[in-house]
Amino acid sequence: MLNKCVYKVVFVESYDIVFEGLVNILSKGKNIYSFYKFDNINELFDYEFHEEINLIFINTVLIGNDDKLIRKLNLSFKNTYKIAVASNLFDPLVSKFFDDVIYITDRKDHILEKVENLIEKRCSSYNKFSLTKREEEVLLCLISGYSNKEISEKLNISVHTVVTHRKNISEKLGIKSTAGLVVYAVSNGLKPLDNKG
Amino acid sequence: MFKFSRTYIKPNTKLIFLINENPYLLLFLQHFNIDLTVADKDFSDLEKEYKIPVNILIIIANLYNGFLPVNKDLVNIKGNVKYIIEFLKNSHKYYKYDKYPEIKDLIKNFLERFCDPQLELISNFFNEYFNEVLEHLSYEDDVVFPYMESLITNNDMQQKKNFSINEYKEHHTDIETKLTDLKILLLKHLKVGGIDYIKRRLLISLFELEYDIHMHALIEETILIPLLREMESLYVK
Repeated sequence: MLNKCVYKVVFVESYDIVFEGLVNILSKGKNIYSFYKFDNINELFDYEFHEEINLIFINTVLIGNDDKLIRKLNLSFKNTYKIAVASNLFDPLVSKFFDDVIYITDRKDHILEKVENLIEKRCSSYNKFSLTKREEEVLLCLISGYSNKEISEKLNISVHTVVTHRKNISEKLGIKSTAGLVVYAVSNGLKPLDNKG
Repeated sequence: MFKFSRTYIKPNTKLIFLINENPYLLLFLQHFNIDLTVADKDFSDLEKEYKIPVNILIIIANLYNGFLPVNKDLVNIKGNVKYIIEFLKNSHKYYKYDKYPEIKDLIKNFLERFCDPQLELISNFFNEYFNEVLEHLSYEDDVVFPYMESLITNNDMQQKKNFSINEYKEHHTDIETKLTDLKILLLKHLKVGGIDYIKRRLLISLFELEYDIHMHALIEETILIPLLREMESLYVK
C-alpha cells in the first residue's frame, strides 16, 4: 500500500471458473485490488457500499438484454467503470452500455491490459516531490503548529486554499500526518517558526 | 517463490496452499491461537479441532486475501460475534507485546549503530506514535470490547452506561496513517543507515505490521461495527 491506489473491484458472477480466473489474472498485474463478489445483480443493488467502487465486472448471462437493468446499473454506479464479461451468446448491441467487453476466450495479457488501462485513469499521483514555493510556506506553518485558519491569515489566502495545498503536499510527499511532515521538514533543513503571528 | 494470485477461500481449501500463496495468513492463524504447523488441514478441519465456526474463520481469512465481506457473509456469522472479538483481543496482544516492541528495538539498534540526527527524529516520532497506539488499544480493551460483550450476552448493567457503537466509530482513531508515514520517510526521504541490514529488517517489520493493522481496521469496520449496530438497534427502546 505504498502510496498506490487500492482499487475496489466488484464481480457480478455466478460461475466460479470465470470469477477465480479473473481474480487470478488481475492479481498477477501491477495493481492492488480488493474484491467483492455477488452471485446476481439484485444482490449488488441490495448491498450498501461504504466506499466508491472503481470497477464492476458483470457476466452478461446475468443481465441479458434487459435495458431497464442496465440503465439502473449505470445510474447507481455513475463513477464506476463497467466491464461486460461475455461468452459467444452475448448481444453486441448491449456492449455500448459498458466501458469495455471481455470475452472468455480472450488471452490473459489482453484482459490485464484492458483492465489496467481503464482503471489507471482513475488514480492520479504526483511523480515528483518538489514542492512549490507556496507549498513550502504552508509546510513551514504546519510544522510550526499553525492551524489552517492561522495559516490562511498569515499567508493571505482562503482556508479552502490552505486545505488544497495541504492535500497536495501530502500527495507529493506521501506523508499524511503532521508529525510525519515535521520529520520530513526538519530533516530537510526547515526550522519551525519561533512564534506565531 | 511466492505466487501473486489470491484464492477465494472455502471450507475445503487447504491451509498449506494458502500460506504459500500469502504468508500473512500466518498472522491470521496466530490471532486465532491456531498452531502454524497446519499439515494437510483445511478450514473444516480447523473448525473441528479448535471449535471455531468455519464461517468465522473464512470471513477473516478471505479478508487477509483481499476479499471484502458481503451481506450474505455477515448473515452467516451473526450468532458468533464473540469469536471476532476474541480474534481482535489476541491481535492487541501481538501489537503490544510482540510487534511494536520489535520495531522499537530495531530503531534503537539503528540509532546505536548510526549517530544520525535524522534517526533521533524517527525514534521520537515512533515513540509518540506507539503511545497513541497503546492508548487506542486500551480504549478498545477497557471500554469498547466490554460494551460489545454486554450486547452479546444481553447484560443490562453495561448497556445502561452512555456508550454506543456510533461513539466508538467516531473515536476510531487512525493508527494506520503514522505507520505508513514512517515507512514512506524511510523509503523515500531519509537517507540514513546506508545499506545496513538493520534498515531492511526495520522496513520488513513495518510492512508486516501495516498489513495486519489494516486487516484489524477492516475487520472492525466491515464486520464488527455493522453487526453490532444491528444488535444495538434491537435494544433501543
